[in-house]
Amino acid sequence: MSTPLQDRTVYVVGVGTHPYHRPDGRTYVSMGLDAMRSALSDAQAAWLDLDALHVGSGKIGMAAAPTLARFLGRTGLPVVQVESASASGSVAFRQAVLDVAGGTADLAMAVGVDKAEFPPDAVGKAEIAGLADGLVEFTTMFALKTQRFLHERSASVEDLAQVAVKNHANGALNPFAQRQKARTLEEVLAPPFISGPLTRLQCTPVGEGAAAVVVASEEGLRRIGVARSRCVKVLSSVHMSEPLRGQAPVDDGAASRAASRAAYEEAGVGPDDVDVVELHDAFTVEEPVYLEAMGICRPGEALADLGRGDLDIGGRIAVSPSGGLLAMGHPVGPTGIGQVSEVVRQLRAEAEGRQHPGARTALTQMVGVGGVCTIHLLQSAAARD
Amino acid sequence: MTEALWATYENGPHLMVGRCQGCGYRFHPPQQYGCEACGATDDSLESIAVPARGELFSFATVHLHPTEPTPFTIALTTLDDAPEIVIESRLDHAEPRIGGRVRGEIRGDSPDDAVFCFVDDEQEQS
Repeated sequence: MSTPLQDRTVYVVGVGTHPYHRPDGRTYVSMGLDAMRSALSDAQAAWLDLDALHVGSGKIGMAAAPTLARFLGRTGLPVVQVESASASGSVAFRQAVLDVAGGTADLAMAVGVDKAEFPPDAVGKAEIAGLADGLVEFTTMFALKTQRFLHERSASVEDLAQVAVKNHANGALNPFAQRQKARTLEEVLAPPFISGPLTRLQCTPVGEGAAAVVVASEEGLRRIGVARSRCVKVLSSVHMSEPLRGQAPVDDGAASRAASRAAYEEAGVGPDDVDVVELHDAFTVEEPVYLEAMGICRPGEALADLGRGDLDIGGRIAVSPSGGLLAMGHPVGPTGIGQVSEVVRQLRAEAEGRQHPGARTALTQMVGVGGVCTIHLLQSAAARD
Repeated sequence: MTEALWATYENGPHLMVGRCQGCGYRFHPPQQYGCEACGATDDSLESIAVPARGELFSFATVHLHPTEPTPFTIALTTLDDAPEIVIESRLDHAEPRIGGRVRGEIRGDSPDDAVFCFVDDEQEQS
């Protein structure tokens, strides 16, 4: 099976972010439009140039796409809303990429936007009764994974909390981050405890925001003004639902392992080629689990790599230079597109104050409840020369 | 679609585990929508009773919850007779440790407010 991206090259040509923040009175429309206009401006493109719009959101309800599009001008372009839980933005980006790769669009936009609303999800509406219904929130689901991980690795709570120390330090350098404050290990470990060993600063905050990107074909590039040196190539786009469990009762890396393998194969690169990673670190334990599943760290080595500084900006590979979900935040719809925006800034060498030197190849990974996993590989213009 | 989640036998509480008669895949909690392994439909899916004895796979004490009084503790448990699946339930245990022996207990004054939880299984520790 050949993939669309092997037949037709797709570039990210513009990014725009409405900074993530605590819930407030701003409407999703004002946040979304801000990100969309920024992305158009960054691409030196006009709204009229676009052939398609995909809106990623998980919380704000139906009909967000035409509501956003109308205020940029009723051009009649096709608009659609994409929902895939935490991966909503990542999948909106993927759909825009596939539109361009498939030839139905030469310029397409993906925007993610959400408010801090908590509508009931469809998982619960299956009405499969369990023994702990209503008791296990996301924090507890991940507290259980954390406790098991620490047991299997004979690792300490302090070892794992270093993930949060690193990502809060990165977030402090990111003007788009919800949490822009470096934290000591003591601060990260300080109460309040939410569930199990998880303290507040080891959990992603509740927040809002928006992020947008514009993608283009070669033909689309000719329509707009952006310099080729600022165009980032999409090497691969993989979206998978969680495979059947194997022999182990729990394997939290299974979807990331399978999706990353497919992504490396499509891209023709391996994990050793990756310079920058943005991943779903809503809780500290996720970073080492996914890094090992994706082959970025050797099995059992992620915490040692972290401890040596290998995963810092300027280290062997920069992991969550944006601050990740722990510090940049996780408004849901925007999150996956915010990841793409961050790695585009890194690959253009425009990530002021937090630039990973020599960033040429980047990977973004999101998981969504249910579950799904979305992975993209992107490459700088410099790597193509 | 509500399945009975437990049964009390002479030799103690059992948990109901879903099983596909077609491919043998087991799962918890039981459901009748279809088999996740082979796609078989509801007439192939049954609930089997498995003794509620096993080992703690993980646990977490919840300190913050929007509706329930805290703290309370949640366990993931693997059953001796179904070690490939984890059971999520309440846990009442003074000193839980991963790998420790636990057994099921049905609590409550009436069938309507009965609650299943795992507790320390001291018998097995000798």
